[in-house]
Amino acid sequence: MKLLTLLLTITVLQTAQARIERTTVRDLFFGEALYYAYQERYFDAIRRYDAELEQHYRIDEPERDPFIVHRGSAEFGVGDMELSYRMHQKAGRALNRLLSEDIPPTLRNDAAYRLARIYFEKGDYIGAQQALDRIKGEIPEAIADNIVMLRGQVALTQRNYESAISWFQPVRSSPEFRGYATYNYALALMLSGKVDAGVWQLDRLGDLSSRRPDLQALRDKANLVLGKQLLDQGYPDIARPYFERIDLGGRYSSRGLLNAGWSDLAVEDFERALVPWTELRNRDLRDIAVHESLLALPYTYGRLGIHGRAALLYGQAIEDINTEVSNLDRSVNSVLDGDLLNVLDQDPQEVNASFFERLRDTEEAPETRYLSTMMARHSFQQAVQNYRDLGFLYDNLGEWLNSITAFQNIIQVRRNYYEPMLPAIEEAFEIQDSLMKHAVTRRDDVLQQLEVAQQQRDSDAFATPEEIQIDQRLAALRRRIKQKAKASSVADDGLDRVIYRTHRLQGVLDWQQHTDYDVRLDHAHRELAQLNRSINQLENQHARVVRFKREAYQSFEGYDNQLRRTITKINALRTRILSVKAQQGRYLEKVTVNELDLRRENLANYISKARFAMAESYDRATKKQSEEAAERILEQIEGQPPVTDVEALFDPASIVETEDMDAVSTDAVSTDAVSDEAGETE
Amino acid sequence: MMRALKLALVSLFICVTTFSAIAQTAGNFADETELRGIDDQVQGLKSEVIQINNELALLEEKLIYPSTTQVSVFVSLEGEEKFRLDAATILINDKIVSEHIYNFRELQALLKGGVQRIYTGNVGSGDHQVSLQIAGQSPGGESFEQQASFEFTKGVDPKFIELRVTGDSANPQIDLRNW
Repeated sequence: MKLLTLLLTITVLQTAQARIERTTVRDLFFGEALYYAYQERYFDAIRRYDAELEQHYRIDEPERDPFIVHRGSAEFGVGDMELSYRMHQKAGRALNRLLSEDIPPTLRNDAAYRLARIYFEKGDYIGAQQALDRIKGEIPEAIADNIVMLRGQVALTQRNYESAISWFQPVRSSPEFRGYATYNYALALMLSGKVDAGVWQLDRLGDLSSRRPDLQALRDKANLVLGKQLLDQGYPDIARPYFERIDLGGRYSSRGLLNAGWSDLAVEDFERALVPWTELRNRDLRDIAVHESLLALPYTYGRLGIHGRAALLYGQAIEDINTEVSNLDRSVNSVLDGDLLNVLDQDPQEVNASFFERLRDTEEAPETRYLSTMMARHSFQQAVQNYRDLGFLYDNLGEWLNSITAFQNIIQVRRNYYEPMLPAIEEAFEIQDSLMKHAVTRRDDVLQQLEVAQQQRDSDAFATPEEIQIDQRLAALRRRIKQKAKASSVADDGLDRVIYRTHRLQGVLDWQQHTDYDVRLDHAHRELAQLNRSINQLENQHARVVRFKREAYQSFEGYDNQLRRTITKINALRTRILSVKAQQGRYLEKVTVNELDLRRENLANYISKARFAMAESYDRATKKQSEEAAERILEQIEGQPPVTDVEALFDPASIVETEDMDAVSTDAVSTDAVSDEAGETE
Repeated sequence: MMRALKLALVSLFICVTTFSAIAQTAGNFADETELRGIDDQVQGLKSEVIQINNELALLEEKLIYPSTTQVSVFVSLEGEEKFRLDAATILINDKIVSEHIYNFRELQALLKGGVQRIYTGNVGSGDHQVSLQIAGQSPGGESFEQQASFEFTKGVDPKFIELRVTGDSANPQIDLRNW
């Protein structure tokens, strides 16, 4: 499991490093989601990614959406964010959905790789292997090394060491996997039986020069692992140089110093062992390696025969351990009082990474004194983040509840404003609507007449009102002439002249209308165009009124039930969140108290050993001094006047300060008496 | 000696990988199971809360920023890596509608290609003016200020405006892109 934890750590680091590149944004909302993603505000980023993807899938022609360019990266982007927000289930479902579609091979292979990574991180190695098996054909260059690395990691978990070796070997030169691939390669070699080759690889890694903090830590880890195994298998002289390589300011420094001391002790170079352990005993008491050094140091003085110094240091160790036990007591009580959860409840809106950074400033408080130590465990870290995330979700929904109350107020204000106004608006609208319909009908009639007149070149159709009147008068005149002509049987010159004149007038009228036909037709078209413009304006005005009415109704109608349902849903969700948060909180308290209790037990064990060793050291020191005093008395008896104040020779202060003692302590402290951290270094 | 070392290491590493998992205590196993159960519930709750957030965001938009009046202003940065933007102010029709001071994470997010929605509000249909004022520092520590104004027309659809800051701290440029 610890080996797998290391592999997991490597993967997580790779994910973090992969997010540095600048993205060219061709969709505004995708860019907005990225803005939050790059700030590690995962919730906000996922929400926007989801909204954008949902909208994209909903439109009729998604291929015309500018977002199509980003669809692949958005699917992967949301998957990455969901993984960072520890939503593996949702990320896996999205990638499976993508894989079920007809997509280009490079996109498919990218999705399969990401899916495999999710399975791997959740410990489903068979699922990871199956997802990797789906990778076929062209592989995106950007993830080619990632796929090879993951194949090696999966092979290692399946104990397929030869295969793992072949995968890790080529990626050792990859800038992204420099160091990590070598470490895994070394493990695979050793597990496959090629121990000398594996040791050589670890040895090389342990000599790595890099400015990157993660690689420096990996280098130290390689040295610690290699040195510790050599020490445990009885090769302390070979192990010692590996511990010396470990950076004194790094995270593996304390364990390096501790084991360097044990290496010296194993070859009985006691004076040399004093150096790393003296340095270590002055370090932070929360470090388990420091606890071990508190007893190892006086033990070594004892082996040097300096029992007075050993006794003094045992006494100091007891004092230090008691101080630490008191700290643990205070921390346990504080955790049980709920103080740890109170701290974690602070500022749920703050990004987790910066919150934990800030917590380091309050490490002396009992409730947070051991938090950073506990956070080194992946499972504890996950539980803490979940706890804080639940607090964020609870607050987020609380803010929405406040917003909903504001929405309801807005809706009520709008209802109060619009409801009295709308009946009059409706009435006016109906009148306007009928007028508009009438105008449109008239326009359509005129258009039709114009078209007929144009087809038949009917100049009468364009007669002015005056011409129509004249035409009517001429028609009436012709009727009267006709009647008069019927009544008279003889020729009438006067009537003939009138008929002639009437014909002339009719001719003038027809000529005028005929010659003006084109001008009048053009004029009619211009008039019609003007009419169309007016009607268009009327229609726009009509549309605006329709929209205004719709918006007015939409601004307050149809929300009540929706908001009531949402409030009920939010309240139910908040209750569930509180319940799960309480479970998560109890888990955190239990795990913390168990860990601190375990430390207390170990320290109590150390105290009893230290007391016994201190008493023994005093005895040996006293015995030695007694023997020396007796020798001096004998010398004085033999060569000088007798001494009267013998008791002065047994001043307790002089016993403590005396360092010239040669008695050897055997079982006061042994490597078995302190916790073995070999497991932790794996 | 190398043979002994080889044998020792082989047995050791095999022991580590084979037995470390078995060596988990019953208590640890129970803790892991409990944690996994809680984690599953947390994942489900996150999905539900994200879903309800999206629904409510849409409702909020419909209620407060209807499409006929909605205008959103976005800020993006296409400057050099050391471009230090400290603050931005948005004015619509010469009235300040939004002011923002950037922290380190926000600035990094902009430099990596993220786009910030700095303002969403309402304006009537017709012609308007949007202005962006920025302030920051050059790599040499000298302060700079820059301002640019642009005309835009609001129609019946929502209006999205991107104001892009380009160039470097010594000579920043601002341009507008309609979406």
